[in-house]
Order: sequence, then structure tokens, then C-alpha cells
Amino acid sequence: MTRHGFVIDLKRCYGCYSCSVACKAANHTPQGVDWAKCVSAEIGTYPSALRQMLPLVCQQCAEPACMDVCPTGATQQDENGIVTVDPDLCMGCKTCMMACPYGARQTVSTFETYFPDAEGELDPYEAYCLEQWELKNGFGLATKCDYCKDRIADGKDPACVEACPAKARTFGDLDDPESEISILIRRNAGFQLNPEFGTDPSCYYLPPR
Amino acid sequence: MKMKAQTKWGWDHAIYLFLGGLGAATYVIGALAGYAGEAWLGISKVGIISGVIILAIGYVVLLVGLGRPMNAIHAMKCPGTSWISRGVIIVLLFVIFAGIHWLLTVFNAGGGLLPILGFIGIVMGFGVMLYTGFLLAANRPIAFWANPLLPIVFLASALYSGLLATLLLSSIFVPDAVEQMKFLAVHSTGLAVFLILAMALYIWGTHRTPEGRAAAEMLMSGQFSGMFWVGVFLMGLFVPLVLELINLYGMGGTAIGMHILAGILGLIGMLLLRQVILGCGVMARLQAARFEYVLPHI
Ligand code: SF4
Ligand code: SF4
Repeated sequence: MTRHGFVIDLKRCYGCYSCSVACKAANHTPQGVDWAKCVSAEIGTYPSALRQMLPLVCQQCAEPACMDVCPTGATQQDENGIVTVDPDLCMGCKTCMMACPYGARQTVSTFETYFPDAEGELDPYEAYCLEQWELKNGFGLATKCDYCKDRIADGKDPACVEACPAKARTFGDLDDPESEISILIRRNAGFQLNPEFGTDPSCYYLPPR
Repeated sequence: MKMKAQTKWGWDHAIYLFLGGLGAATYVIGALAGYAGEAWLGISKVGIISGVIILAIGYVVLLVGLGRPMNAIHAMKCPGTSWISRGVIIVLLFVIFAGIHWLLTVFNAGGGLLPILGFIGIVMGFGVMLYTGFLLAANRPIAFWANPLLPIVFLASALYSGLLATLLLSSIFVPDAVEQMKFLAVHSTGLAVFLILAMALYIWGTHRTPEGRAAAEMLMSGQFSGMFWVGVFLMGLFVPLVLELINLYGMGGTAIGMHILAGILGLIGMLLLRQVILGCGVMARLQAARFEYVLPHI
């Protein structure tokens, strides 16, 4: 069995948002949807203040809280542990958004152009993105990162992993003890975010400095 | 660090939670009155007929607020884990039994069948009043909701608003049932006091986590404090309580206008109660080593 997972090295991430942009380009997410977020936190006071980025993706939890609460069966988990939303079943009740501890689920009800001052039709790229979004996700429904399932099927890394200039992200198989991510987790005290929620995330983080 | 509350469940959800509880409670009061003899017949009819209509309106509001209402047809698929699925099943059973009860009541038919339908409707009605509390309490990242007292607060608020609505409507449609309305008014004052105590305990119980404390602060002195103190506490509980006490003990319970005013204020307050509880749903922070992060856009 394969359990797709991520390792994100917090020492390496410097908050350039390349992952966010790559995700947007790969998944045609409209305004208001950001599946590969980066949030920051600060501790201490000047002159010994510290700022640390935290890149977030869907944690593809082994025990997904979002799936438990979903009434329609729209939220499903595949044999490799990837959690997806079937837009043909989702009714947009947003219960999953309340249950997910990681803010991984997002919804938008309408499409907003990035160029509101431009008159007439959408520019061809925005029109293409809109068409793709409607085809694969839709408005008013729950949407989320699926580790770029289609790219993985083609043997590629997820778009955010490929784009990260600091090599802060590594993708692999958690079930294989010899995979790069399993070794990284073992050797660097990898940890899951907020394990108290009991969702057993497949995304591990390596400690910051 | 300023914590953020969820924004995705707003007024449409608050209106549904309110109307769902109110409709079920009004029906339950009507059905219970049906067992109390001839003198309660008018009030029983008022409760049963209006309760089912109120719940139906609540469901329409909920459906309209969904991203894809047509897919609600699948909503019963996961009763093993999802409170929405369980809720849909409970509401459906309620609508079937209470709906037949409603039809028979409207057409003055049914005879011996009414008490049986009433009993099943009452059980389902309590289910409807309770499940919304469990639905919210199941969301562990929102400490303010994940509180075992929330279903009790929702149940008490539903029963209280059901009593006020029955009093309000009975004042209009069966104004001669003065003694019966006095009985309901006494219980509404008791429930108002109980609800104030239950809410105090509920808010106190949220103080165990930083998110719970942030939510309680938001409620009592922050963003929602005006709505809470003026709308929920003063308008929804305190003023109706005082009005009913004056009516009961100063005017012999005969002031119909007092029932109507207490009812209108109390119902607005109970709607606002649902809204403030939803609005104060502060999400848990994420923790990575020494750093704590607030989630954006939820
Ligand atoms: S991170 Fe949230 S959306 Fe993703 S699998 Fe876990 S619970 Fe579900
Ligand atoms: S919004 Fe869709 S995926 Fe989320 S719980 Fe509701 S039906 Fe399931």
C-alpha cells in the first residue's frame, strides 16, 4: 500500500509564496481560494524577535475529520490516502469546513475577475481557468487540495513541491520506510500539526530553527 | 495574537437553527396540550399547526442557503458519523408523523390516532431540538461549540421560544384560553431563568482553552457583545421575563398584549442567540514548535 505524504522543512521555507502561485496555476483556483497557503507567526520582541512561516496544504489525514461529518458521501478517501470532494455529491453545507482543524477546505460562491476594470469578455486565460474550475470543482461547494492527483498519476511531483525554490517540500510514500520522506521524518524529528485532533495527518513538518 | 472566528455559517444557518428548534418546540407544546383535555384544544391546534409550518419554513431557508440544494437528496448517506445525516433522518421522521398529525388536526379528524401520532411526534420533536446542538458540538476545532452544554442550551432555547410563540399565537387565535396561557407563561418564566443559568454555565465552561476564552471574550465584550447583551440577554430573556411576571402577578395574567410583546422580543432574542453562538466560533490555532498560527479565510 502507498500512503502519499508530504514533508515540509520549516528551516528551509522563507515565505516566497511560490507554492501558492504554482498551486493557483496548476489548479486554476479562483480569487478567494488558496489551497497552498503560507501563514506566518512571530515570537519575541526586538532585537530578538523571530518570524516563522508555516506552509499549509490539505494534510490528507488518515482519519479525516472532514469525511466523518460529510453527510452526502461527497468526501472520499482513495486507496492512497488522498481525500477528495465529489462535486456531483457535495451540497455545499460547509460542515467539513467547520470540522477540518487545518483550514484546508475552501469555497467561493461566485467568480470574481482579477481585472474588474477591464471591459467586455474575460481575458482568455481567466476564461480557461473559470471553465476548468467549473468542470472539476464548482461554485458554492467545498473544495480542497488533492496533492495534484493528476500530476502524481503521471509520475510528477505536486506543483507546489516542484515550484519550491528552497526545496522545503518533499513528496513521497509514508508507508515505505525507505522513502525519502520517511527517512527525513525519522532523522529530523518530523511532527504532525495539532495531533490532539486525532486526524493523523499525512503531512509532516520538520522543526524550525 | 488576534484569533479569528469562522464566517461561513452565518445568518442563513442561524435562521434555520432557530426556526428548526422553534417549529419542533411549538409542535411539541401543541401535541402535549392535546393530552390535557378539552380546555386545551384550541392551544393544541395552534401549536401543532404553526409548529409544522415554522419548521417547513426553516428547512426552505436551509436549502436555499446550500451551495447545491439539489444534492441535498444525498444528505442521509452517512448517519454513522454525520450529525447532518442523523438530523435529516430525524427531521424527515418528524415531518412525516407531525405532518399527518397536522393534516388530521386541520381537518378535525383522526380520533384515536392523534395521541399515538402525537407521542411519536413529540419524541422526534425533541430529537430535532437537540440534534443541532450536537451538530455544532461535534466540531472539535471550534472549542466554543465543542461543549457538552451546547445541546442543553439549544434545547432550552427551543422550548422557551416554542412557549413564547404558542403564547403569542394563542393570544391572537384563542384569546379566551386565559388560564391555559397563564400556565404557559409561568413555564416560560421558569425556562427563561433556567436558560440564563445554562448560558452562564456554558460560557464559563468554555474557559479551558485559549480559543474558548477568545470566543467568550468576543461574546461578552467584543464584536458580538452588543447583540449578546442587548439582543439576547435584555430583549430575549430579561424583558420578557419581567413582562410575564408583571402580567402574571400584577394583572392576573389577563394582559394579552404583554404575551404578544414578550413573545416578539423573546423570539428575536432567541434568533440572535443562535447567531452569536455561530459568530463566536473561533477556530483553534495551529502549533508548530514554539510558534502559534491563526488560520486565515475560514
Ligand atoms: S486537512 Fe482537513 S480537509 Fe484535509 S483531510 Fe484533514 S480534515 Fe480533511
Ligand atoms: S460541503 Fe460538501 S463535502 Fe463538505 S460536508 Fe457538505 S456535502 Fe460534504
